[in-house]
Amino acid sequence: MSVDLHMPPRRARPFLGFAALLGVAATVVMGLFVVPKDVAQGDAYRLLFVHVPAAWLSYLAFAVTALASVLYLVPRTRDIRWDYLAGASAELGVIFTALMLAVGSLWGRPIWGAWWAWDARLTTTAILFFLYLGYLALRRMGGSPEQRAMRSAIAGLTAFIDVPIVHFSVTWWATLHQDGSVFNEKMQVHIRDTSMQLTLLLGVAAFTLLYVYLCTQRVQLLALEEGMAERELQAAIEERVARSGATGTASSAPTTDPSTSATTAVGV
Amino acid sequence: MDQNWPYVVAGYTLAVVVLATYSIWLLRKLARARKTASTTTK
Amino acid sequence: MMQLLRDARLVFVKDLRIELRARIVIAQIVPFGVLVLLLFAFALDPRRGMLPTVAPGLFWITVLLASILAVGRSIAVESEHGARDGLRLSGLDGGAIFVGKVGAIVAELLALEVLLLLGTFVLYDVSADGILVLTLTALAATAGIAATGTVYGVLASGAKVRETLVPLLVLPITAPVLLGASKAFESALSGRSGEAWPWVQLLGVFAALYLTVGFVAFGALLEEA
Repeated sequence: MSVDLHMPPRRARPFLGFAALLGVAATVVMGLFVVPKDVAQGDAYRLLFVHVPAAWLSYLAFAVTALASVLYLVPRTRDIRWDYLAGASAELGVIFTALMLAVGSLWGRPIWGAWWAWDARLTTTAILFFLYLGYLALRRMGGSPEQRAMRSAIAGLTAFIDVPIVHFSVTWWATLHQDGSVFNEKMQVHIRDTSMQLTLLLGVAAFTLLYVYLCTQRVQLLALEEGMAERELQAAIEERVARSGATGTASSAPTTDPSTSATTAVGV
Repeated sequence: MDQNWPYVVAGYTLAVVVLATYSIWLLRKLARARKTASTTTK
Repeated sequence: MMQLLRDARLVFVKDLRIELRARIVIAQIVPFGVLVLLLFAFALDPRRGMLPTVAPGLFWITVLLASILAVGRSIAVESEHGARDGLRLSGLDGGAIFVGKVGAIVAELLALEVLLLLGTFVLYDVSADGILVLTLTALAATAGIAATGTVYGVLASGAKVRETLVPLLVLPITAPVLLGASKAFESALSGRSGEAWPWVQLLGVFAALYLTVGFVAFGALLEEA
């Protein structure tokens, strides 16, 4: 394996997971109890400490997917594990995006009086959500691991290129809606208090740790499942060969290259 | 504690529940896969 | 370069010729488009007088939905009688095939759009410079839609679930096209054509981007599918 995925070493992973857990717990505690009320928004703004980290992570996750897609497409760095990374990261990205939208909605309700607002960021994120949902659906299409990887890499790149375009177009569109309504009040809060700053930073760090941990484990799961499918196929072939050899029939064993095995319906 | 607390609690609960569910699902599947892998490798 | 253009033209003519004989677009997809426009009008209750306001958006959603069918048809044409293998073995450049197919889809969709636009004109007047904006918008937007549709169509072509997968892939990615084209049409149709130019530029960038992606990737995609 000539390509180094720079994943956290195996022994460090439990610590990573534990650190992530601690970080998230600390964020929750601080966000709910430690930081003071906001002048303008009262307690509702506390959702910021979940909303912003989720947003950050969703962008990071999709960037990683795009990068992994490129690395797979470039022949020199081509390695199936980049495909695993792309898939794992996209899965997490979809989760964080959904979380961001849901929490944003819960935040918007008390502030704007509506469950949804067509502000630039929420709208862009909603489109992003469906972009990557489609990407995940494409990954389940079946075929050999290499076919899936090539297909997904192109799809991942195509989707990622769209992100700045979506962002620009939606932002322009949102600025055309300056009708002075309360919806223009962005979901932003003046971070004055140091405990607020700290909690926000903590939240982002904790979620990032969680992302890295979960992504690593997800990649390992994909690798194991795919490896298992290959091994099972190989075992089945060898068993077949042994059986036909034992009965003395001259049936020729199919020399199947495991890497082009039929449907690998497992994995993402 | 103003009247917006239900939303805040709902949001935090949602986040924790979703992330915990995914993590637990992932780790269980991984543990099972590791066990099967060690038994099928020759 | 000349060879590429010639190859593209070959595929373009082939697809259109097949269409002229089979008449799928003319007899099924175009009526579908007009029908969708009509149904939207029903659902939104014409008597409430908001049709002129929503017409640009409705127009482009209709085109988008019809384009999914047109792309599906374009891909399906290659799955019959081993045509895809024929295409692969023909020695035609993958990028040229892409351009040819996209061109054919654009031609078909433009025919639909002209018809839909006539329907829209019945609702209100268009100033002279509006026509230029409308034309450029339609060209750029349709090219972008056809390009992304063809890329995803071929990406998903190996799957039995292609028909349900392609819409899920194409619609989010063409969201900026929907937005931009609707805004541009809105400006043009209300006499404020000047406002449309940023959107037309955006559409142009989108089309250029995805035509390039498709051109570069199509050869590899044909092999995989």
